[in-house]
Amino acid sequence: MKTLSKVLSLAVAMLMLASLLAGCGEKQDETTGTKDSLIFSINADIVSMDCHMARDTVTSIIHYQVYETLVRNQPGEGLVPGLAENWEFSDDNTEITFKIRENVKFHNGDIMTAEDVAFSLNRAIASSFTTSYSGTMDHAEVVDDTHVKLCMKQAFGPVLQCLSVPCLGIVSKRAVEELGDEGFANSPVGTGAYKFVERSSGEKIVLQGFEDYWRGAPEIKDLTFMIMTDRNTAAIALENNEVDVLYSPDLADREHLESLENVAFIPGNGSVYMWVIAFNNESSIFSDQRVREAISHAINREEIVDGALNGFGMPVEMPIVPSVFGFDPEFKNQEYDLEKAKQLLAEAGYPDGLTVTIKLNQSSTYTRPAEIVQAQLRQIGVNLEFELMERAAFLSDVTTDANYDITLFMFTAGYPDADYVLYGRMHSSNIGGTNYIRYNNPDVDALLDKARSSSDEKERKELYYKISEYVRDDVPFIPLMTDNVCIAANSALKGVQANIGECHYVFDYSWAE
Amino acid sequence: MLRYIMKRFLMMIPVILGITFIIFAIMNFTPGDPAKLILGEEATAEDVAKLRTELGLDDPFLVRFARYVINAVQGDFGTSYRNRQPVFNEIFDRFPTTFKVAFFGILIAVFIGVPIGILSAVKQYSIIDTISTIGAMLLTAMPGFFVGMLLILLFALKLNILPATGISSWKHFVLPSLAVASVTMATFIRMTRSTMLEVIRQDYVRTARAKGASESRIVFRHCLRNALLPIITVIGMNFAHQLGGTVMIEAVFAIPGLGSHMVTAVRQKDTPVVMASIIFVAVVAGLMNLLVDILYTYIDPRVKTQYTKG
Amino acid sequence: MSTAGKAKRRKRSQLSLIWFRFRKNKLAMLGLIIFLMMIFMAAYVSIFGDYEKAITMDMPNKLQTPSAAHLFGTDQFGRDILMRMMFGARISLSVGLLTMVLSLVVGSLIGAAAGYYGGKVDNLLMRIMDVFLAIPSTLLAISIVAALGQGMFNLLLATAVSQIPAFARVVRSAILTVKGQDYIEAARACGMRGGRIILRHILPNAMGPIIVQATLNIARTILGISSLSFVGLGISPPTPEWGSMLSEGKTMMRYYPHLILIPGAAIALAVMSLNLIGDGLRDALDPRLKN
Repeated sequence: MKTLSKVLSLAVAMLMLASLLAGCGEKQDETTGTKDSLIFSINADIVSMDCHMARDTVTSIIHYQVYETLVRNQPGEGLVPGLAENWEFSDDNTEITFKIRENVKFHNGDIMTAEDVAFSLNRAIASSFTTSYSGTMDHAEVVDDTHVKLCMKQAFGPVLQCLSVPCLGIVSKRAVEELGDEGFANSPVGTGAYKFVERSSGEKIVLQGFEDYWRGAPEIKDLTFMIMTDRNTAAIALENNEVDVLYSPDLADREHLESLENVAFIPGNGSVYMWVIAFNNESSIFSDQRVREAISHAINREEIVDGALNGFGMPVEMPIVPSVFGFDPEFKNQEYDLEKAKQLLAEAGYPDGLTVTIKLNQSSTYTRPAEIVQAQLRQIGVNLEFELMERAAFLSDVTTDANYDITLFMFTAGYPDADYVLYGRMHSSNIGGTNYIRYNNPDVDALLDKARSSSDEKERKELYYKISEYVRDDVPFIPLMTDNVCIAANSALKGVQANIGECHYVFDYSWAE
Repeated sequence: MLRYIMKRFLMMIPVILGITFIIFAIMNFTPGDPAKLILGEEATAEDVAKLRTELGLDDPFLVRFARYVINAVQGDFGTSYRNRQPVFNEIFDRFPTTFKVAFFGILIAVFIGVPIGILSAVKQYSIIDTISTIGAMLLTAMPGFFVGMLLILLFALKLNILPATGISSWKHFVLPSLAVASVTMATFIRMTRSTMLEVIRQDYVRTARAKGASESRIVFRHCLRNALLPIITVIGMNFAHQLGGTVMIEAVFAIPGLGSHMVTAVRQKDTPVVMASIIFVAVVAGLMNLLVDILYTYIDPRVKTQYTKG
Repeated sequence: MSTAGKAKRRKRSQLSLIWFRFRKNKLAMLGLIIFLMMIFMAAYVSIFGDYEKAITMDMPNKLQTPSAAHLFGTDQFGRDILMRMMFGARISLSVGLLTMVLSLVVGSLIGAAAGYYGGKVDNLLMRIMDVFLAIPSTLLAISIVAALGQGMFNLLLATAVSQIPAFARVVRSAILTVKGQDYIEAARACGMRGGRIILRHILPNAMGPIIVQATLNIARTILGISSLSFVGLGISPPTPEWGSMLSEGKTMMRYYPHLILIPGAAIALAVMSLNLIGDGLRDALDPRLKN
């Protein structure tokens, strides 16, 4: 018995150790009385609190609260003056002069100066994260105490859209210089409605309302972002009042959330995401336009939307999604015609069909639509064999080395203009970069260049329609569908809106009395 | 004994070195570029090249490995490629959470599983035995996320007595611990039952019975003590495994644990984080194994003589 | 008669003795019958159903609850779950069993050698196992894909390698328990060599924990196949397989629990039958229970 009691005492000692560990780090966060706090659930951890060191959607949601940009993208209104009161383009559109808003305070109490603005823009331009927005910008310089000039490498239509993303946010020059880049990421200083309090890796980011915010102190004082990687759990947490806002709920939970009293499910209309079947236009099989066209004829988009998005999305015929400038609802892609498809395949030398490997990023976002495409193509004798890859391998193999024949992936519009996707994916200068479909057509290049530098909206729209016809007839890739952004929130919370750019300002939220 | 412990500590060094080399090699030679992953699919080639240089990824493998080991010996395990923070900050932040869930989970599993196992062995082929067999098999066939979801639906949503997500009070740890307990309990039940059965049939048990010892004395004094070795091995192994965290359970309960941290880092090819997490978990598991081996000597004097000899 | 012939006859009679004892155990026989039925189902499933039904999508009929047309309902693509479960048995059972055998054999040998010889051998082998134990299975799978490519065999290899250390540790500790016992000493005194003692005397007596570990591991393997699919080691769609059926149903399990319950029940049944067989086998092998 003696040895057993020794074992037992050891166990007790470990138990005490554990309870000691359990004791530390505990915090009370029960909220009582008048509600001025909010818990916002996000589905991944953020990359950095430094706005110039990240550009992913989740990180941006937090940066929208902490940082501000010269131009603000206000949900429901579009672009409005932000930290710039107004701006003026030079005649050739290569220089923009901003009048800086006065008496805007940073979280550390400093007043924002033209110096801070020019420093921030130059820091953002130098960052590797911002290239897709700042690629056409050259540098920023101080004109006088209240004016900053942004010099462009070339005229660029959607420049104001680019200036509204948080990775071109304005930071305190003094804070960056005193703390260094790493230190700044741990105690960021911006001008936004919320200031940073603390961050616990993988768990939460805590912010606090900024009393001296130039648009007035926010109604919600304590703002916590909880990281919940499982979106089904997050939905339960919302139902159970453990969180107040659920960004990007799982579509499987939609009907249930809609049926709840305490939850408002707010559907948006469209998104910036376009699912596509992308071909390697240089591969031995798909360099033949007839094979690509055959596949285009065999695709039933409604079925994919139904099966992969539970019907909560839209088929996309044009290579431009409805939320993006350049979209035309009249545009029609190749009609669904299995006979034509089979005939084209036979002409191309595949009368008995063919078997080809489709490389896929292993995530249900892509595998679910791909499974449906696989079933559809079986009807014309095209047998798709899946090669599932983790994201790292997929990005290096497919989007970097273009070592693939066919894939199903997503083209995202970083700003709501057709230029972003079409120029990036189709212009021959981007072969080896974002044009991993390896499409090379001088006619399309010329159209893309012209559309990019023009500032005449009507002309640009016509140009993008023409380019879309090339996409339809030449089939370098096949646009499939887009989803609907949506957000779910406690029904007592006012001011929550679904936003296509996932731009959410908690400043606009308030609790109903 | 002390010499034995010292020896075991020394032996951990080649193990850690071996792990370090293998993991570093795997991270290096498997496809995927951390710089590209950080900057995203649309990054330009120049930006990726610039970031690779910043992260020191351009040097040859052996140079980088040597540099890593030299720095690590001096206590510098590097910073995460992704968030540029020293790697152990996050690991130490997350470990207490993982430890609590693992510890209480295993504790519950042991306190429920081992007695059930003993009972099923003592009353072999009885109705209790059959039920415990079926129960254990059902538990093993249930994936962690399913158990987790059931617990959440029942205790958080239906009964509303426990929170579903988060880690801010002891209440938050109840459901995750139960989930961990349920996925490990089956092993404990079955392992206890089978080792007890082995022991019950040994001659000395028959002798004890012939001597007229009471049944409970036979079970606890003679059988359990002799059956403890494999049981403790399994408990130790499961505990060490749980200390590495479980992705499924962490995700379901929104717990910031080591498991999801490591898997995220693997997916993002964040080598310094992967290395540090695995080394950390290996050291913890090594200590766990040592503890188990020391426990062996307390329980079974025959084992002790081997160590003191060597 | 030659000695070899004698030994052969003795062996056969011992086998029939084991079978005789096994047959008397009703639960074990039940397990055997269930398991044989599952193997039969996996092998001859094409007689009962059409593989096309398991993989053909039927979007208008998606997510149906069990009905006469679809006994177990349909999944998110309108595929018949009964058919998917029956055809899924092929891959799940074969991968589960093969992985178990592979890791059981290698792990037991390593664990037995470590436990029996002790000292330096023990240290070396167990430290190598520690290294393997420290490599997360996802990382192991990623490296196997990178080195050897995708495919069934590599899937087997990845799952088996990650389970070897667990077997080795369990077997080692079981060996330590029996090692000091008198009959081992006796065998050694008779001049038996180490390998023979391990195989003939130690392993059979340490069978219990090994069988338990083996049967539980089958369940883990089947559940784990789907988690390896993220590196491409899993089974590619539309091939049905129990583990993937579970993970595909994950997001919808709250509203359509049959998506999870049916493959889960299949796994439970397979593991339970194997476990009953294992228990029966252990009892049948135990020389102390001869009467």
